[in-house]
Amino acid sequence: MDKTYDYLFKLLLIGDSGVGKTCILFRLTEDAFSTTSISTIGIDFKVRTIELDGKKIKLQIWDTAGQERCRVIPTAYYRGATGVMLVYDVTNDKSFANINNWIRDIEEHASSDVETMILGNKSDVNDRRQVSRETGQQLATEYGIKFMETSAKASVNVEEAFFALAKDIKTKTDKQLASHPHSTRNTLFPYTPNAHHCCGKQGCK
Amino acid sequence: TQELKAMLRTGIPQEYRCKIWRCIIYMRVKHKMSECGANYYSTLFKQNQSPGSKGLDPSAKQIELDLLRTLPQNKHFESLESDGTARLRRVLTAFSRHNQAVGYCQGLNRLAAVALLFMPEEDAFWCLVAIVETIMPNDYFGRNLLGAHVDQYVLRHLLSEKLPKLYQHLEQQGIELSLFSWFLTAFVDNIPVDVYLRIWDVFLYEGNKVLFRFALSFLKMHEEVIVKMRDSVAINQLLRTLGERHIDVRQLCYIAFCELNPFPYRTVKLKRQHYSQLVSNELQKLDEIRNSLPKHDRSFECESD
Repeated sequence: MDKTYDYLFKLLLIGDSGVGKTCILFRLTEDAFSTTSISTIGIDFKVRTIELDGKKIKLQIWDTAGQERCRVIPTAYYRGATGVMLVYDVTNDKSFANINNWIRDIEEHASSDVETMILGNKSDVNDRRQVSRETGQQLATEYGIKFMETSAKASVNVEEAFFALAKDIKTKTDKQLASHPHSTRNTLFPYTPNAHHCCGKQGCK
Repeated sequence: TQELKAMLRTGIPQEYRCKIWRCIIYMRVKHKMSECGANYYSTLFKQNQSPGSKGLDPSAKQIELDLLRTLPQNKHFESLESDGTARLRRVLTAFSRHNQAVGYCQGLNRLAAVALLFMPEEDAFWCLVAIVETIMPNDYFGRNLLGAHVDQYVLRHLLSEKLPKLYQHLEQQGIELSLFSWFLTAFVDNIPVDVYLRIWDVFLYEGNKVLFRFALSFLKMHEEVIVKMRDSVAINQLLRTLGERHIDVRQLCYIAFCELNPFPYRTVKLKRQHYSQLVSNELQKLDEIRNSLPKHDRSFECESD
């Protein structure tokens, strides 16, 4: 079976329970919002192919359960991830406070050059908002990572966020490929044993 | 008995399911029921929250979050006003107070909801007790989900023995198989109702070993297709939707109980013992790393408190 994409990026979606991770993913992959959602148990998986600079990029996205005791389940998936979307709920300040802890998880388990982005979801709900856009932006700036407010329900910024993350990963990958044509095997997909898949690029064999 | 076992493996007719499930559950927990005494279920609601806890305890919070995210397509659980929702809340709350080491773990909601479809509230509570405390190994739903982690290793080991071709292929593709959602919900995840009810018929009576039988059976049904695939993304995609594909229940059961034989409980038990040391060391290491890193000012609400 031939590959129909130029790049493969493995992403991980993390954050507290109920912040809308699965809904964001549903918006991204199906362009729809379902009021009847189901809580994710363990880990789930979705795919979306996007186009950037004329290249086809396959995003393989792992969706995770948010309950604290499930935090260890995705540990193995951090290692192979090139990007992490870290989600909180703007109507739930506790989920925002926990961003610090999720970042520690990333620091512990992900490769050091992983691209991360913080999303403040449910931005359409203004009457119950507990975290202002400025507060969210400020925290992201402190950590030096990108930030967006999203609404999976109203379809605001979901595409934009994933495009932005993918663009950063692509830029980094291209740079690494240009300087060390074979080094990405170790930094980006350390646990992909099949050499044909070393960087997800066609023709890199 | 062997006779009952054979009968359950062919499936319980829908009209008897309620009665037979309740009998099996009663058999499993009658000693616990007599220890706890009559009215035990209702006394669980009279207790106040443990004194030290600040605000709503984490179990109660998580239960509220999950009530409408359990079986949202089922009319008994589709809204806060639905008749099943209030019962689901009470069963999960009662269980979290009854078994404080487990409290509430995502996955228990689906187990309780399926039980509620077939039996009255109090029996559904005992069904949850039967599953967590008599059917599943210890520490399955507890703080670290230790038992569930161990079973993913056992599953991969069994796969290497029972379906070596598929195992090899997944290894080559760099895919580490894990089916947490099936093991934490007894298959109430992305699987048609009629299929998981058949699984429950034997699961309740025979115990947790059948989870491996069925997981491997699903995999065997798709083995030929998967080993021809050369794209790890596509394989992952197929693995996440194994249960959604058209499933012939009779074939599924035939593979699970005939083709996969022999399947002695002893080997599962030995594998569990083997991996539980390994996994608990790993989890402990994770804990240590976590504690050694500089703490940020606000920390996770500790579930174990």
